[in-house]
Order: sequence, then structure tokens, then C-alpha cells
Amino acid sequence: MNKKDPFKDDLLINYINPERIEKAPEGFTSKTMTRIQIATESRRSRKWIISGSPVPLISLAIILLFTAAAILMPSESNGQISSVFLKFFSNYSITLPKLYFSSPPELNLPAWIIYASLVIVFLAVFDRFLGSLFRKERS
Amino acid sequence: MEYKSDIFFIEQVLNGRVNAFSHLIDRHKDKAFNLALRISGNREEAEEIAQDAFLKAYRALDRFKMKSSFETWLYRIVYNTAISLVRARKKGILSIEDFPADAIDFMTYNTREEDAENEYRNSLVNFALQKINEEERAIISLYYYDELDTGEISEITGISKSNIKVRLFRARQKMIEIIEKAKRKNIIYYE
Repeated sequence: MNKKDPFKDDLLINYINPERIEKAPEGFTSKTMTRIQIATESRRSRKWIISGSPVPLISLAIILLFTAAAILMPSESNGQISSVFLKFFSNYSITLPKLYFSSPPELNLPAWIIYASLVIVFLAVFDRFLGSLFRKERS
Repeated sequence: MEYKSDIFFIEQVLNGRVNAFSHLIDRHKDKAFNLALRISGNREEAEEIAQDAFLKAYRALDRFKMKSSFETWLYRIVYNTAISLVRARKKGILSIEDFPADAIDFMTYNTREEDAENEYRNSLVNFALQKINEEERAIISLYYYDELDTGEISEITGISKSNIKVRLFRARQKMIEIIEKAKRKNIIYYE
């Protein structure tokens, strides 16, 4: 850090005292370290949410699978891949409850949406259960 | 205690020992704070700038190529952080007459033991520093207080070496004019 002044007759140097250095405020290091530690923790927790918590991701995958299956499955088996699933389920004598909705009468939703909604609610409860279980294990 | 280089602490941090960064802060905090203070002219802002700069340095530590020194690299971060903040603030330039002598924080710096004449000169310099633009302030600070050469200042600021010389010359002229005017009008007071 050597200095070679490219200018002559520097009047400013008469006013400036390079020795004069203002000290950083008291507790500067600890305050900065606290900020760094908070930043590190929040980064870790963000990372954990993305990669460390499989429960919501599994639930989401199952919901998507069910929704996709409900959309893709035709009402009659026609030899497509989806018919395999239909055959599989038809081997079990599952009786789905018939749900009647009186209002609004104009609403004409496909029947599977009601079942998909029930599955979603069930999975949400299941997700909460698994979530609490994982939390207990971590703590 | 055995002296350990910046590189040693950087490697410790990169190996997961976050607390090793506190040694780097301790070592460079005064210089970082000084540069921030001279650019911003406000102690609270300077502290925030210096802290932000250390935080940015910590986050980018794995990208630090050990070609330049840690100090130069940190200075560049402090410089960019301070310049951005000052520009964002867009503080209006006041005329000398409008400027109260105690408006600048570092004029109130308590140095009772110091020679009054030195204190007066220092107040004049700080007063003049606030009258030039933020880039010129940074150049003056790095050149006179940190005693860096124009090449090093160029590396920190990203301004070419020849341009640094021109800006240094102009900033110096401006400051001398402001100081002379302030002295004539007896604007800066000291106890």
C-alpha cells in the first residue's frame, strides 16, 4: 500500500491526518455475527423446507396422482392404460357413498370431483398427522 | 498469540466454522467503517453499510478468488454498498451557508485530548468531503486515509486508473476551494 503522489503541491495533505481513524462502534463484531448467524439459519431452514421435508411433497404427489387418475379414467373400459386401474379397483367391492347436494342446483360437477375432494381432505389430515410425528422425532 | 492470515480464517469459514468470520470482522471493521463513514457522512448509516458489506462478503466467500487480498475485496463491497445507498438516498446538496457546522456526525467526534488545531482541520476536511460527490469522497478517503495508490483504488472502484487520477485531481481542487471558503466565512467552529 505504498503511495506515489502523481501531483505536486498537494495542499489537501496539510489538512488530512491519515492517522485519524474512526473506530467502528462498540459491539460491531457481535452485532454483525448475529446478523450472519440469523442469515445462515434462515438459509438452512429454507433448504430444509425444499429438500428435508418429504411429507408435504409425498402428499402433493398422491393428490396429483389421484386427480390425474380421476381425469384420465374414462367411464368405460376401452383397453387403454387407464382401464387397468379400473379393472384393479373393480375387483374390490368398494361401495362409494352416494352424495346428494341439493344446492346450488345449476352446479353440474363431475362425480369424481366430490371423491377427489374427500381424498384431498383425508390426505390433508394424514399430512398433519405425519407432520406432527416427524416434528416429535426431530425434537 | 500466533498471527493467522485472512486466508486461514476464510478456509475455516468455508469448512463450516462460521465463528471464524468474527476474526475477519475484528481485523477489518475499522477500515470498513471508516470508508463507509466517509462516503455516507452518517455514523448510523456507516455502521449499517459496514455490517451489510460483511454479510455480503460472508455470503459470497465461496466465490472469493484469492487473487486479490481480502481487504481489497471487502473494500470493493463496502464501496459498492455505500455508493448504492447514498445514491438511493439522493440527498440534496446544500450550499455552504445552509450547512450547520454540527450537521456532520463525525464533527461531533469526541477527541478532547487532541490538539484543537488538528480537530479544526479535521472538521474542515469532513465538511468539504460532504460537499463533493460520493465517488470523489471514496477516492479521497482511499487515497489519503487508507494510503492506497491509484491502481488499488481502480481495482476497488472499477474506475480506470487514468480516470482515478483525473477525479482525484478535481476532488482535491474542489475540497481546497471549499475549505478556503469555509475558513474565510468562519463556518466551522471548534471548541
